[in-house]
Amino acid sequence: MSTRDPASADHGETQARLERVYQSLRGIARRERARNPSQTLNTTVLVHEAWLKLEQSRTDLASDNHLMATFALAARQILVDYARRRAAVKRTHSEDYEAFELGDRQTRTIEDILAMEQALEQLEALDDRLARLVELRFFVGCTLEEAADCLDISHRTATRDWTRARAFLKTVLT
Amino acid sequence: MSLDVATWTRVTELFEQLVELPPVQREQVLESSRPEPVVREWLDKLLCAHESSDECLIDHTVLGVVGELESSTNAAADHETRRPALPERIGPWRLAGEIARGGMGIVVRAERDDGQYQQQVAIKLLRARSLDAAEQRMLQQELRLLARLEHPGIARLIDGGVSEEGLPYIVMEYVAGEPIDEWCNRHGVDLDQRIALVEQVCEALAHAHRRLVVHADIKPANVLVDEQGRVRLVDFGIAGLLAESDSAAVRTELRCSPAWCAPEQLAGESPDASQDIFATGALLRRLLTGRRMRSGQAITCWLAGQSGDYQPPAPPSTEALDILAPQRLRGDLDAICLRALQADPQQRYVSMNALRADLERWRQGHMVSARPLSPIGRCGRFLRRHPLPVAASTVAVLALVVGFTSATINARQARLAATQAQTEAMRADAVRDFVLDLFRAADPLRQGGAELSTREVLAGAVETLDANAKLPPEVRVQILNLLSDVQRSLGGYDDAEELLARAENVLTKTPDLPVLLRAETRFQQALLAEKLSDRERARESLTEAARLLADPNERSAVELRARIEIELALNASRSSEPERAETHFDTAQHLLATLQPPELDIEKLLHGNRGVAAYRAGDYERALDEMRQTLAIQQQLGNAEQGAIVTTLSNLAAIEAQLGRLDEALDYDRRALAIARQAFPEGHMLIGRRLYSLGDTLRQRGEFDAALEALAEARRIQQAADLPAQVELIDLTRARTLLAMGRFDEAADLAAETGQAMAAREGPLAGEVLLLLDFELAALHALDDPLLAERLMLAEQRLASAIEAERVGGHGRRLALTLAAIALDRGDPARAGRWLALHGDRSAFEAGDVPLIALSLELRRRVYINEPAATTGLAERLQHALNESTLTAETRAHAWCALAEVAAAGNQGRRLAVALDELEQLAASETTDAPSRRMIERMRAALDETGTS
Repeated sequence: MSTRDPASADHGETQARLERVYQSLRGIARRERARNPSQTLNTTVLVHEAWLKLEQSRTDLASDNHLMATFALAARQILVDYARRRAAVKRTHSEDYEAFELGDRQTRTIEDILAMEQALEQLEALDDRLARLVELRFFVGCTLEEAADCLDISHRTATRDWTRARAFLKTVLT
Repeated sequence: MSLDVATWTRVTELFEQLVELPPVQREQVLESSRPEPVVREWLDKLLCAHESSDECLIDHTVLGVVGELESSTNAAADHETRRPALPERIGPWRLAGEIARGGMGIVVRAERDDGQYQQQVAIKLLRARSLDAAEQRMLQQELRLLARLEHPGIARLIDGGVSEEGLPYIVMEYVAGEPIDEWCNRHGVDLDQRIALVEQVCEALAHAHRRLVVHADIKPANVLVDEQGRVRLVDFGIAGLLAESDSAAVRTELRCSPAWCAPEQLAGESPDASQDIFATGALLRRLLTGRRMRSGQAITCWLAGQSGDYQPPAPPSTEALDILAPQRLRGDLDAICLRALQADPQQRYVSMNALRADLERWRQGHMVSARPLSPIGRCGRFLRRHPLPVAASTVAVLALVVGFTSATINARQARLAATQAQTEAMRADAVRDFVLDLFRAADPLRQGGAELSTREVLAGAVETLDANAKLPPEVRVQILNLLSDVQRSLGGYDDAEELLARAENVLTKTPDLPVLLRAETRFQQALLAEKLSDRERARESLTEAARLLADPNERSAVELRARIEIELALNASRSSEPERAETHFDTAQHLLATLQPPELDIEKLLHGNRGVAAYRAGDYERALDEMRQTLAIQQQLGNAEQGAIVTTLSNLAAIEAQLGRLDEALDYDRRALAIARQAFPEGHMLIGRRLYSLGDTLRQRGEFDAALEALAEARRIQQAADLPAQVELIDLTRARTLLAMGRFDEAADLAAETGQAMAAREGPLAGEVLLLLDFELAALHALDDPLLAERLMLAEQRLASAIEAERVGGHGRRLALTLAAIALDRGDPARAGRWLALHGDRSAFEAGDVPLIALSLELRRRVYINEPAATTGLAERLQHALNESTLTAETRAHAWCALAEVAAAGNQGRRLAVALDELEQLAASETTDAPSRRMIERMRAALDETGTS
């Protein structure tokens, strides 16, 4: 088994987190794809592509802003697609998902995701940058600093933006 | 409640000011700024939300959300996202610290903890998911196979199993090293050293491949260089191991490193040695250019299903690292690298050793073998893809049971699926290549540097099987079936039989083995019996196999059952039981229709064989339809089918020609030849075959010179390939062409000579021998050659013997017509009558060339013996039949000659004039063959003589 000098702690942490997000998304995407090959292929592709690009710039992971943003967008799409389909199934009591019974918690999560998407769409219409920030934080789990770097804004601006975005979403979501 | 941008801007401005202020001051600000009600309303909401301590979704991140979702769905599949709590120790190992964490699991450094001796190891904890008992057994088995790898270039597997917590783990030698690319760059390693390092990689992989273990995830991070500057491969076989524990749906998902792996691996194929070759090529390229195999963009294309679009990268010399001299890369190193990176596995190096040898040759300044897209490579590719019937189903089960360790066999085999009309020689080639390919990495030390023969390789495989006493019986049966399949295809019928007997023995001893395995062994037994011409036994075994799979539910069972039904149909068709064949074909078709996605390889097999059976039964339209469907499937299957498409096109040409549609036939022949020339190396026997059919079609179209040219080239090829049967077939057609051209001397000589050769090989009564006699007689007759009498006698003897032996086929019947025609010309109506009797009662009218010629001759005979009254009705029908547009010039010539004679005998001047006019036109037509012209000539002379005209 290999050992390598671990990169700087921060970098390693980001990498590990991203990898976990990626693995989760991929898990969802591939299950979806197994159920419905055509529909989710694009999102799967998207998450792969974004991931690969991120992986390629591994020496300076968080620096490629565009890629990180793409990844966030992919993550968002996958989760939302997933939640939409689940919700639809629940409504129509489709037989397709017989093996999949939602518990209360999951039902709530799915509703949450859909509500979040709706709120995020509203926010997007008002201020695109805020929406991007939310995407990075919520869908990729970026820290405020990382997100600031990605969006090429100062830490201060990011904090301010986040306060607004959070207040807005809390308002709309409750 | 909705917000526009202007309002939002205003709201946020104020929010910005207010959020930092205590509530009292907020009121003051609001007093002074007097926002509109809607702004005020939103401000209140936002501030309230901001102050509220309620938890909201936004305070979580995707991981939490996903975690919630996952806790209900396929709980097992995605536990990699969880961080398993690390136990303090696993077995005798005390965990020391985490080294790395990735998608596949966690790597921890550990030490041996029994106080006996110090040993540092790396433990990989695989994705946390508990394994059931069968999976645990499987894991143990895999680990045993991995443990057999002992090579200085491979980090040793030390231990493995399942921890008390239920985590599968692997203990491996701890390698303090650095990824090869980083190491090279940090040390400024020069070109020769870089190549030498890759050679070490090749050596290590060759060692593994010999033990049927593939790495499946070669990339810089898994190729470390240790403190001594030696290459050490880590993570051996882990990719396969993991793939193994996934469900089928998941298995097709990526489990490799997309930036490095082979295109087919991205497409979800099982790991296989050629993928390691590709990845080593990718590694080489990395060390030469610093580049990864592919961009995210390219991956996207693949994932979107455009896998055909993979193009090997630019030559490394065009993008060499700054520290390397591009001119040293140009040429040979470019070729080596690109050869390893071919899209098609069959075009890559056949083995790790081949790649290593080329690198070594390069370092020593010798010529390298890498020649991208050499004709040999193209040929090998096709041959290796060439199909074996059982393989696909064998493989599916095999992959499930032993996983990646047998993946080398599996992936190759999986690509083999049957088509119909290929020669035995080709099949043997295909299998031989496959086996050689598989084992070419034969241990040079053990083998004293000699190449292993196929037999030795197979013997080695059996030996391995025997040595593996703990192999589960189901695996043993699978492998025995597989090896028997290979042996049979190579013509090793005795060995195949023995292998099957051993499989049978295991099956008897282990009554609870899956029924699919039993059915497969039966199927193999049937195929072998068919080879040994024991049609009855073949049928029994097939029936038994079908009974075992009477109600197939899983996919592999349905597939095997479909193959069995197809084989049953062929068995029936060979026994001239077309109806029974139909029933089996229908069953197969019905089974295949239930498969989703469809199994194109077997469908192709079905339609191809249905086409051949229909052709055999004389139902040409049906044959055409089936063959077209075969072609459509093959086109869908893509490039891999190129070689087989040639056969289908040829079959289509033959059917069209049979239907008299010579334009279509010619078109198919030309397409087949063009593809064959592309797919096979110059001088390949299959190009010869295509030239032959093209020549025959050209002959039928009356394009004699072009026909002779094609046939001459075909003959050169088959002569060089030492295929006498092919040469004779070509000579037969050449004789026929010469005859049609009126080159009677040459035709007679060639026919006599070829007839002799054929009689020596096939026996004097073979159809072709009689046909050649027919040609010879026709030529001699046209020449009024004195030899004719002698040859006539021989022909009559042979034909009589054939009748006696009940071996008169179509050619014999044709010969009888020629004998009758000659007898009539020689004034011997009684003899003519005897030969015509072979064609039955002429008053029973039948359409088609041969019956019409027989009818014409019968008319002439009746005129001759002065039975004009008996001719009228027949003459009417004959005349009517001439409206049929597909009749040959020869038939028309016979018919009009007969009608002219009938008219002359009956003094029907107008009818005679019409007949003579038709004959004149026929004689002038280019498409009329020389013997027919000669016949017309004789007829007119005879009529002149009697003065009736």
